[in-house]
Amino acid sequence: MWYARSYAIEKLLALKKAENAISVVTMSAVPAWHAGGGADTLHIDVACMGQAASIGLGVAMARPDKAVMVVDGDGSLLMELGVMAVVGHEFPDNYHHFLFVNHRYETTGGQPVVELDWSRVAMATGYNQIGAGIPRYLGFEGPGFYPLEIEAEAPAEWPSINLADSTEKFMRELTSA
Amino acid sequence: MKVVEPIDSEVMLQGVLAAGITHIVHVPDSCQARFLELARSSSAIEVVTAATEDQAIGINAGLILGGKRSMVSMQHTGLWASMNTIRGVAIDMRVPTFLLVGLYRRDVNKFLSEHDSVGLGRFIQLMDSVDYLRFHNMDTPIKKMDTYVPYWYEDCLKQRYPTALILGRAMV
Repeated sequence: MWYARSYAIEKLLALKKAENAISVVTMSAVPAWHAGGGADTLHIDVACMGQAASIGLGVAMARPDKAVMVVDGDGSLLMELGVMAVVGHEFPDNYHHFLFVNHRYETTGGQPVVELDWSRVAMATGYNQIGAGIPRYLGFEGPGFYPLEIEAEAPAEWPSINLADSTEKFMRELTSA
Repeated sequence: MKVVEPIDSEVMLQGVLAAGITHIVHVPDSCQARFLELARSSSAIEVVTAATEDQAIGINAGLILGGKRSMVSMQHTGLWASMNTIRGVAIDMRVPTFLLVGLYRRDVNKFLSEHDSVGLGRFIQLMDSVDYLRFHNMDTPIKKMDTYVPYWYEDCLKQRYPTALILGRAMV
């Protein structure tokens, strides 16, 4: 099943809202996530390519009471593929890893990524749930992995973000959440 | 003539415990083998093994953002390897990042600058080149490590700059 990015993000934002989840979002999903209001609360933008899955893992381990949604890209995750093994080892049941698979490095002009069977990688590295689409709820039966085929689009401009300020805001929010 | 004195792992662990550190995210380092073994045996600390130093910095960041008191342990080659993640996570996002860094294959009879390998011989220049990265060279271990580690850790949290303690040789 192929998703338009805007539709996939609309569905994921609804999940975040319904479960008051923490979102950790990187690369090409960031502009639409902000536009949809997903960055208003309990949200981390990751501008350091490849790091969303690791940062999300740390948050999930620190706050096992909160569902954590990592919205990643195939090009990004390929840069730190080994983190999937660490997720499988640590096995946080509140960790939900959504992978936008658009088969290319969108922000650098659409060069192709190397291809692999993401579901098999997730299975081999020990994720507990592997979904074929966007689930109806998150729950605490993770770690879950959801590879989503996303239609290629022209890259959108990132919103103006002060990463240091938004990080501090997240820490303040989470203290009281 | 040895120019580097070893640090006692138990004293370092006392410092880490006094700092209230709950998590050590690491990629294996021979200089810290004894220290990590002691840390694993402590019920107050959870040791998390990452596959790369970049991941260690990311996982540590998530733990810190989630309210835990975490630190990173790695060897100096990993610090060279993870400079872009330190830039992106510890400097741009300003997530407090406290690092314990061992100098792999350092000759304890030489000053660091006397090493032919770029990784060791230019290591201090690397650290100096990043204005935001604070470091303490432990060639001469300071006394009262159990006091200084908590002080440096708190300063790292407060200032939100990366801080590295550089271990001149294997801890005993």
